[in-house]
Amino acid sequence: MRIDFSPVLSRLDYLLEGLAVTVLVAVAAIFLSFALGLLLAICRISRTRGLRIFASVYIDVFRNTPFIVQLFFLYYGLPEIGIPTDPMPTGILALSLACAAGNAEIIRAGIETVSKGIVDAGRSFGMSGYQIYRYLILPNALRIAWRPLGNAFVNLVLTTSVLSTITVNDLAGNAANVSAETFKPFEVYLTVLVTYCAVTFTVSGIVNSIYALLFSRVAERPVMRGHA
Amino acid sequence: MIYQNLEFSIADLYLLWRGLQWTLLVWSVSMALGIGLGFVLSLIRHARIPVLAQMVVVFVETFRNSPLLVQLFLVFYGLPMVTPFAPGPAEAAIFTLSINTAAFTVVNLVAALDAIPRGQWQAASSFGLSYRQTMLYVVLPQAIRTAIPPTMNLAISQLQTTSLVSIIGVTDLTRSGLVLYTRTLKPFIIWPIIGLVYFILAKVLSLLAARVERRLQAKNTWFEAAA
Repeated sequence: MRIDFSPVLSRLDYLLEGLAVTVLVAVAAIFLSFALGLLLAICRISRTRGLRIFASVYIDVFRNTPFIVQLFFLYYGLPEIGIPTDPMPTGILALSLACAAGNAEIIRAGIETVSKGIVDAGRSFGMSGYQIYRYLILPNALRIAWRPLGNAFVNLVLTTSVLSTITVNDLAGNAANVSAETFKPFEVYLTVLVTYCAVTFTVSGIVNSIYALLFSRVAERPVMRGHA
Repeated sequence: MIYQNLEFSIADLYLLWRGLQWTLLVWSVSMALGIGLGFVLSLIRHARIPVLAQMVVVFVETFRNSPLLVQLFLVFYGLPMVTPFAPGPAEAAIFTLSINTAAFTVVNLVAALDAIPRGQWQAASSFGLSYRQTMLYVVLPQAIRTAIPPTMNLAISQLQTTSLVSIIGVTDLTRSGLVLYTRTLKPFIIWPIIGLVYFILAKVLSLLAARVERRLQAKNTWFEAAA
């Protein structure tokens, strides 16, 4: 069989629409899963026993079950309890819930590398718990956690493709449609594969830029010296 | 009226059991093949064999940075169109998962190989050891020991990933869940059960991995004490 990319090119606009959906879903889920992950990480090491148990059970369950099972549970389950489900919001929700668990573990590991001395120093300066978190613990913890978080975000972008199984019209979903229309699955999926690579490289690039912008100076601040 | 059997029966347990078997089969075969292939590719990459090493890098980056689902579609639907090779669902699943796993294994193993200090290579060559001998007796035993924990973690996380093979029609655990769901329409019973089976599998594997890691640790401490 001849390899022929022209059918793919003729449906390029449709594939690009899918790409836009993928990017939209990924950006939304990255923000939500980061926020939720941060909350879970703080709960996970909180002094309140209930919060600690809740966070560790949550993390354990979401990390040890397949994403697609979680997705089907939400997508087919929510209407049963009277909540109508649209594919896209459900997809973003499932993705955020699932990735929050991984992010929480990464952020927790980052928080645990912050030395106790910094916290004690903050306390002796009369800083409140919030201030200690905001100005002392989190900048350090997030600097340590940022690169693994970047990997988690790349993973999230790749996982968005699973949403096509609940009929979200993302890049993978539209690719399946184009492939069925044109009978050129090889060319279509190869193009899409390379497109996903381009997206993840972009995400990695953005993650690195943010690191350079926010955290490259953190290490030089005198207050952080005890930690490094 | 369309008759639909909405109740569960004992036969459904058998369906789940078959699904579990497929999941474990696809997982174990593709882990073995993937880690093996990853090992060979790591050696090529580490030896910096011209052209081949660059091809390994391109291969690794492509497969690490694209969704497994698209890779599955490319192999299952795409390959038969351009090659004489037409895999069935299970073959396509095992092939794709192996390649995907190999790409991630290369990252772990190359990092472990690169972590061996240059001094050891120099020391070995001053003892008159060839490249092959240095690799076999000095570098690999240490590198493999460093690479075992991340590789075990990879294998455990790939267990969850195998659930995607249900989309190309492998009757694994997730697929049997879908079959049961479409028949009984009881998502709140089925998906937690399927999730629980995966959960238990992952926990058992993690326990085994932790055990292996403890053994390794003990051996490493002994190693360092002896050195």
